[in-house]
Order: sequence, then structure tokens, then C-alpha cells
Amino acid sequence: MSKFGQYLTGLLLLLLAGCSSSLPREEKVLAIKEMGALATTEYTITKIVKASDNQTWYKVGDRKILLSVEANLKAGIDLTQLSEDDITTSGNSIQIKLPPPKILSLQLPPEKIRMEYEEVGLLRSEFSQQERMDLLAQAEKQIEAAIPETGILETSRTHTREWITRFCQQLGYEDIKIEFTDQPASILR
Amino acid sequence: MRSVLKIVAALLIIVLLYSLLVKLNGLPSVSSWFKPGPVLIEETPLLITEIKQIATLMTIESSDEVVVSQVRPVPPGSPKKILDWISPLPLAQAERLVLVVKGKVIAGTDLNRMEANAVFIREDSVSVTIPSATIQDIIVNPSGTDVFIEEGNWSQAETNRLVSQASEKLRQRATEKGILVKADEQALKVLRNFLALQGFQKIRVATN
Repeated sequence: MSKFGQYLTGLLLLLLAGCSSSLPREEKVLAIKEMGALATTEYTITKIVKASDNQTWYKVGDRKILLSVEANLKAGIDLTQLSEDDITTSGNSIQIKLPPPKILSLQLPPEKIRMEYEEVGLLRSEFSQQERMDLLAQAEKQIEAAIPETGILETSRTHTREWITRFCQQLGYEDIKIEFTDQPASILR
Repeated sequence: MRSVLKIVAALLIIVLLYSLLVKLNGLPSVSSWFKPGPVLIEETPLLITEIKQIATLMTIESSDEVVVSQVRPVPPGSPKKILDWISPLPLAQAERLVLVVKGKVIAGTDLNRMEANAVFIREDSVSVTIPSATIQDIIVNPSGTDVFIEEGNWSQAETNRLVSQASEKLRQRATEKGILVKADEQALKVLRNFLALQGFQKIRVATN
């Protein structure tokens, strides 16, 4: 091999060494889990997923897509977190300290995902299902991140208080005090 | 000859420096030059369309993974069909879409369906009858859906139908695992604990 050939081989090896390697995907455990959550609030929300594919320098022409999605959110409290110290009874009076409400489920029903509009440049191909799935996964993350702004946890607090009060009334209590461990001193009679 | 060696040496130094900077994350790697740019969605607002007050005791969550597939004939006029006309060998005349779907089936009791006389109390004894558990949610979200094989162009509606099939498969598998029986048992356990914490001595909790 000539010297020039050796240099060329060395150069190629160096270029290969500069390439990044992909990381293995995270494994998850799939199992049956026992829970004890009281879901008291359900929100239905809609969102438009808007994306433009114009960031790749060597591809001629753009692609644009608009999808609409619906999401169902459920919030409530975890009843298994209640302990003896959280419930005090005396005659027909009861005082309950409930754990703070949390999001119990987020669901994007497949039948509610709609393609609203797609524009594809002459030299480009349509968005594949994998690409659309990636865009929808991004939308799912955006919805998750925006949950506190929807006010669902506050609504869930009210709904939980109302349902627990009704249940305690059925159990014969007349003086019912309900508070949340993260927000005390809310009283409903 | 010397000038060629000088050029090669200079090139080698440049490549070495470049590789070093790539390793230190100071410069993008050569492979990334031809990586397609990311397609990111824009921030759009959420529209709340419905708020519902519910009372569901969610008691069992079953996570599972299923594979669903659909095969259809190659549509007329598609490039594959045209290739088949000119190809000396017969080409596959079917397109496939195979999805691997991870999902969750949640079973629980709808406490709003409790009857008016479901609670009975006498002194320190209490009896509560709750409705039987049902499947409350089947969660199959895009983040848990992998497109394993995609041949041809599939519409969103076709993919949605396939994901719905995956939901049905998850429901069947969860039912076969006895999720509803387990959900009933767990609901009784959770309610019994809740009533015990209130000081009731004799507790009877049952399903309809």
C-alpha cells in the first residue's frame, strides 16, 4: 500500500471513531398492580398538533402537518395513603385529612386522533406513521406538562370533598370536617 | 513529493483536532451532518371541552404489550404496482403495518352506581354493598406505540383502527388474567380499611 493509501485509511478510521453510538432503550416491567385510588374528576381536552419539517438542509421542499387530538385526564386521591392518624371520630362528628389530589390517568383515545391537514413538497414523501406517532408522543408530553394550568387538581379537591362528605353523611355523620394534608382548614358541613 | 506530504500532514492534524473536538462534544460528528433535522411540534393551547364529576374506585392496573398487524393489497397506481409490471420477477403484492403497543388496563368500581340503601348502620356495625368492578380505562397512548413494520402509505384512520384492535386485545388478555375478580377483592379491601379507620368494629362489605 502506498503512503498516500495509508494516510487515507488512517483518515477513514478517525472519521469512524468520531461517529456517535446509539444508547440502548430503557426496559420496563409489565405487571398487574394493586391500587386504591378514588378518581373524582375527569377532564376532556383537545389540542391541535402543528409541525413543519423544514430543518434538514439537504432535503428540497417542506412538509407541514396538522393533527387534532383529544385527551381524557382523571384526577383523584390515593385512599391507601390514609392512616389512623388521618381520621378522628367522636359521636356524630368526623374529621378526615385526605392526601393531596393527583393525576391518575392520561389517555389519548386512538379514535379521536384526526389528520386535519397535510402539505407535502413535490420532492418529499408523506409523513410516515412512525413520524406521526413521534409527533403525537410530543403532544402527549406537552399535555402532561400543561396539566397544572388546567386546574384539574383544584377541581378534584372540590369533587373529592363533596363525594367524601356525601359518603360520610350516608354513614350517619352530621358534623364533617375534611381537609387535605397539603392544604388544611377547609370545612364542609 | 514533499509538498504532498505536507498537505497530508496538515489534513491529518485537522482531522485529529476535529475528532478530539467531536469527542469533547465541541463540534457535531460527521454522521450528524446527514441526520435529518428534528421535526418538533409547536406549543399550542389546550381547550377544555368537558369537566365531569365522577366517583370511581380504581383498584387494579394491568400493564401489557401486544402486537397487531394489518395486511392489504398494494393499491392500483402505486410505485410498487408499476415496478411489478416492468420487473421480470414477481414482487410482493401486499403491504403490511405492524404495531407493538404497550398499554394499561385499569379496572375499578363506579361508586356513583351505589344504590340508595347500599349503606346500613347499627351502632358500631356497618354494611356496605358496592357494584361489581368493571374495566374503567384502556390506555394506549402514542408514547407506548412502536411502528415495527410500515410498508406503503397508511392513513391515520387505518392506524387508529389498528390501535383500537390493540386496545381490544389488551382488554381480552386482562380479563383472561382475572382482572375483574382481583379488582372486586381490592375494592372490598380498600373500603373495609377506610371504614375500619373510622372506628367501626363489625364491617361487612360486599359486591352486588
